[in-house]
Amino acid sequence: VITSILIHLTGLMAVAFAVGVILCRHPMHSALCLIGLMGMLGAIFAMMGVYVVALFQVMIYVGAVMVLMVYVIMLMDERDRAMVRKYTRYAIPATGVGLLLAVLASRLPHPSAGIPGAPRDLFLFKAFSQAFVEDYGFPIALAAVLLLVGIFSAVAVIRQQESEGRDGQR
Amino acid sequence: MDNVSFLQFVAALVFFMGFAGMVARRNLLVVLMCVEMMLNGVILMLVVAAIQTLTLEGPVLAFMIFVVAACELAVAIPIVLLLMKRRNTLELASYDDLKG
Repeated sequence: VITSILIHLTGLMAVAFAVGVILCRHPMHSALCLIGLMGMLGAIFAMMGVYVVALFQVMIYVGAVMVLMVYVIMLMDERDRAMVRKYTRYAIPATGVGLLLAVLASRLPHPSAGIPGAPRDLFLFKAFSQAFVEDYGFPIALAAVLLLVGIFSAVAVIRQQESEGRDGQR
Repeated sequence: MDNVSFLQFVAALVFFMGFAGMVARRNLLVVLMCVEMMLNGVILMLVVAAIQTLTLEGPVLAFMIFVVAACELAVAIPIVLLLMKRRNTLELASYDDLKG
């Protein structure tokens, strides 16, 4: 019962932080709200017993992605027009459609009601690591190679454009 | 409301609030944050589905999303910095000439 109450409380706080991301004027405040949202989701994962995802949520998202984001915000100009005018003209329709779709998506049928307290051993590091290497190792390695090829291609395109630009200047 | 329905609702709400923010906000960095928010909604939905079905596909896919999100941001942040250096603003309307 206590876990259930905590999951509900953390979920509500996650939604509140998500609202904060959209409503805050300064990007730094939005970033702090996003960090709060990610932390709350990490707490939910930990309470559900999926410690692997909880750990990576905090390590990768809060520890790496958001730190990068905060560095860029520090380079921003305070007098930027984007700080003064927050919303586009699509703000109200987008919010309405978003809320409607959220309600519809949450009405999707699900096979069983209630999380029965996930089996502790299935989502622990040992079982996860074994399954990850044995069953999903090849697809993940393939995806990593594809990402690497994408990055190299991007670098190659940029270099080509740079050399063309230099030739044009001559 | 039971835990599964509640978490499904939270995941859907986080995803579509990210979508609404992506459409509604003018600041390029906040738009990127809203994309991250959408990815977080997807991860929550995957984990809830994994716990319901007691399978590992959800967490593995979530792991994949972590990697892709980190790569996406590693590419997006330099682009944002270059745009900021070139026009000194992050307002999306300033980059209308980029379309098509």
